[in-house]
Amino acid sequence: MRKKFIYFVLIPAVIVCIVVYLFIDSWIESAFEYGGEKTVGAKVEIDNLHVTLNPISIEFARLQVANPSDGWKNLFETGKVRFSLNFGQLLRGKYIIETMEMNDLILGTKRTADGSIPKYGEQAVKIPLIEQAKSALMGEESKSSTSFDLDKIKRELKIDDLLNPNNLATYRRIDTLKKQINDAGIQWKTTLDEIDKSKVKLADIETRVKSININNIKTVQAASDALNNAHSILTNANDIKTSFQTQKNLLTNSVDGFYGSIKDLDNVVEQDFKNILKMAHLPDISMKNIAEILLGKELLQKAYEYLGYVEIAKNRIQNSSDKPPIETPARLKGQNIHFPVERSYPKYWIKKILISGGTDRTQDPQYFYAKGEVHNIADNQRITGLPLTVDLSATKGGTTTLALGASIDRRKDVSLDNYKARLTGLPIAGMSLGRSDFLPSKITNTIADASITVTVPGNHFDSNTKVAFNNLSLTFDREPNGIVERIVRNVLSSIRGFNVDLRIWQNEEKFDVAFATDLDDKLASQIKRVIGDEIAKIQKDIRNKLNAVIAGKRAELEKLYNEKREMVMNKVKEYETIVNEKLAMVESKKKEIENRINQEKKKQTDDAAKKGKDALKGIFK
Amino acid sequence: MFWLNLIANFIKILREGQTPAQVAGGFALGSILGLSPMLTLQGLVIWFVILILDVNLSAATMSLLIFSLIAFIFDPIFHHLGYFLLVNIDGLNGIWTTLYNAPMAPLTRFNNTVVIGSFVCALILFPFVYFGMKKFVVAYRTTIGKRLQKTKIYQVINKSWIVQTYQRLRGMVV
Repeated sequence: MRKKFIYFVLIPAVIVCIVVYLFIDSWIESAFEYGGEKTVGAKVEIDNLHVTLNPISIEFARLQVANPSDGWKNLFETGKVRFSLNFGQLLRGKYIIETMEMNDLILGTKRTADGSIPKYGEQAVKIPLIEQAKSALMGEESKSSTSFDLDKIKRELKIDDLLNPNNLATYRRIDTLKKQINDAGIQWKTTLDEIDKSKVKLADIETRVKSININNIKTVQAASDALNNAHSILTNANDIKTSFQTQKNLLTNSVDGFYGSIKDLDNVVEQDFKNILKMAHLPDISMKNIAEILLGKELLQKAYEYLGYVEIAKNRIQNSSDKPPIETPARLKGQNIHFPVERSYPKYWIKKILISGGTDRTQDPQYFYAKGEVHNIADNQRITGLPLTVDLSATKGGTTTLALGASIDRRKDVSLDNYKARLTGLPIAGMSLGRSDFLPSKITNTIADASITVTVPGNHFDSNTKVAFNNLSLTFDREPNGIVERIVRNVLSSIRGFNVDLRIWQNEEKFDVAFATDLDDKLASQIKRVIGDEIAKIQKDIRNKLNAVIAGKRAELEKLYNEKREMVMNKVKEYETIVNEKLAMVESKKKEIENRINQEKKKQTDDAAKKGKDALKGIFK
Repeated sequence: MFWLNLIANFIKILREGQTPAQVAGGFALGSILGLSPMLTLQGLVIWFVILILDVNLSAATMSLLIFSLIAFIFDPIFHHLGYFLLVNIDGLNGIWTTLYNAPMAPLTRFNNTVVIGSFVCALILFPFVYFGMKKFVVAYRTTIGKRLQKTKIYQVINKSWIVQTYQRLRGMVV
C-alpha cells in the first residue's frame, strides 16, 4: 500500500465525500433560493429539500415565491414538488429537467414575513406598462362630464357668453389676416412704385422709336443702322417686360395667397363651433358614449389590474438576445460574454411542469382549482428554440370555467407575448355601473362569458376583450335625474343581456382604449327619438349665432382684401397695357425698317440691271 | 534568490551573449504572456513558440513579470475594450458565435472581456515592443551600459552587501 496516497489523497477524498453528502441538501437549497430570488426579485423559500443520487432527483416539501410588488403576499406556493435532473448535463453545470410535478399550487397566499428584497443600484428609468396605461384606463371618472338633462342644458346655456371673441379662434385669425394684408399692402405699393419708375424707360423707348425716320433712310447702310437701333430698342423693351412680368407674378402670388387664407377661415370656424359645443357640454347627438359611461369604469379598472400580470411576465422573462450589461469584475477576472450555442442546452431548462392546485381553500370560500402544463422554462430560449408556453384549465365554485393559454417568446430580438383566456359561467355580483353623476347602479346577479386575447410584441400592446352579460339583474342607487337617465334606466330594465367589446392598445408612446357594445344602438335609438331634435336645434342655434358673429368681422376682412387686390390688379393691368403698346410700336418700326431695306435692295438691283442693259445696248449698236 | 538570479541574467544578456534580435524576440513574446491572463490556449502556444524559437528565456520571463504588472494596472481598459469587441461590434458577432461553437476555441477563453481585450492590445504592441527592445539592446551594448557603470548609484549598489552576498552565494553554488 502506498501510505502517502492513503493519507494525502484517499482520506481527504473520503472526508470531502462525507461533507458533501451531509451538506449537499442545504447547499442546493440555498443555490435554488438564490437563483430564484435573482430571477423573481423577491424572496424564494424552499423547505426540506432532499437530493437522491440514484437517479439524481430533487424533492422538496414546499416552495414559496413572494410577490415582488407586495412582499406580504406570495405569487404562489406549492405543496410537494419532485423532479429528476439530466445527469449528463449536470456534469456540464446545466440543470435540465424533463418533467416537474408541482402539486397543491396555491396562488396569492398571505405571508408571515415580508418577502421583498431591497433593490440596490440604479435601475434604468423605464415607464412600466401599467403607468403608461393609467391615464387611458383610470381617467373615466375624471373625464369632463356631459349633462343629459335638457332643461338644465337650456337653462344654463348662455350662447352669447360662449361666443365671446376671446373664445373664438376665428376672430383672432381674422385680426391677424387683416394686419398681414395691411403689411403686405405696403409692400405691394412699394413694388408698384418701382414699376411706375419704369414708365420713364418706356417713354425713352417711345422717343427713340419716333426718332427713327423711315423717310430719311436712303441707303442700305442707313437702313441697316436703323435696324440695329431698332433691335437695341426692342431688347430694352423686352428686358422691361421680363422685369415687369417677374414683379407681376410676385404680386399676384402674394395677393392670391391671402385668398387661400381667407378660404381657410371656414375650417377655423368649424373648429370654433366644435369647441363651443364642447364648452356648452352638449351631449353627442349619436349618444354613442352612454354605454361607455355606464360600463367603462369597472371594466377598465379590471383591465388595469390584469395589465400588472402582463407587466410582470414582460419584465421578468428577459429577451435571450439582449446584449449583456457591462459588469465591473475583479481585476484580471473579466466578464464572460456568452454567444448562442448550436445543439446545446441552456443553463437551466424545465421542459415540462405538471401543475395542479388553486387558491387557498382556507382563505377563499370560492375555492379555485386549476391544472395544466407549463412548457420550456429556460434561461435562454434561443438555445432551446422553444417559447415558454402555458396551458391551464380551471374551475371555480363548480360553475365557472377558465381556459388559459400563454406563449412567451424571447427567441428573437423583439419579444412576443400572447395570452388567450376564455371564461364561462362567471357569476357577477356587485359590479358598479354608471358614474356618481350618471345613473349610479349595480349589477346584482348576472352570469358573464368572456374571451380575452392579449398580444405584446416588443414595447407595443394590444388586447381584445369580449364579454357577454346574461341573465342581467340590476339595482339603481337613486331615482333617475332627467330624461336621458330615465330612458337609459328603462332600456337597462327591459334587457336581459348585452355584449361588450373592449380593445386596449398601445402604439409607440400612446395608450388607447376603444369601447363598443350593442347597448349603444338600443340606447341611441331611444334617446335620439326623445331629445335628438332638441339637441340638434340647440346646436343649429349656436351655429347660426356663431356665423352671424363671424360674418361681420369676415366682411371687414374681405372688403379690405378686395380693395387692396383691386388696387394692385388695376395698376398691374394698366402698366401691362403700356408695356405691350410700346413693344408693339417697336415691333412695327422694326418691320417698317425691314421693308425699307428690302425696297432699297430691290432698287439697287434694278439700277444695276438697268445699267447692264444700257451697256449691252451700247455694245450691239 | 530566483529574482536576483533573473535580474542578473537579464542584465547580463543585455551586455553580451545572444543577439539583440533574440533578446527582443523573447521580450516581445513575454509581453504577450504578461498582458494576457494565464491558462489560455494561446498562452500555451506562445510558451511553445518561446521554447521552440531560440529566443532569450530570461528576457521572456522578465518581460512576463513587467507586463503582468502593466496588465494589472490597465485591466479596466482591457475589460472595456474586450466588451466593446465582443458585444458592441455587431459585425464581429458571427465570428464570435462560430468560434464559440468551435471545439477548441473556447479553450482560448476569447469570450472573456479581459482575455480578448489584453490579447488584442498585446498583438498591437508586439512589433513596437520587439523593435523598441532591439534598439535598446544595441544602444545598451554600445553606450548606455558603459555610462551606467560609471554612475555613482551603480557603484553603490554594486558594492552593497546584498549584491556582495548574492555574488558570494552564486560562487558557492557554482
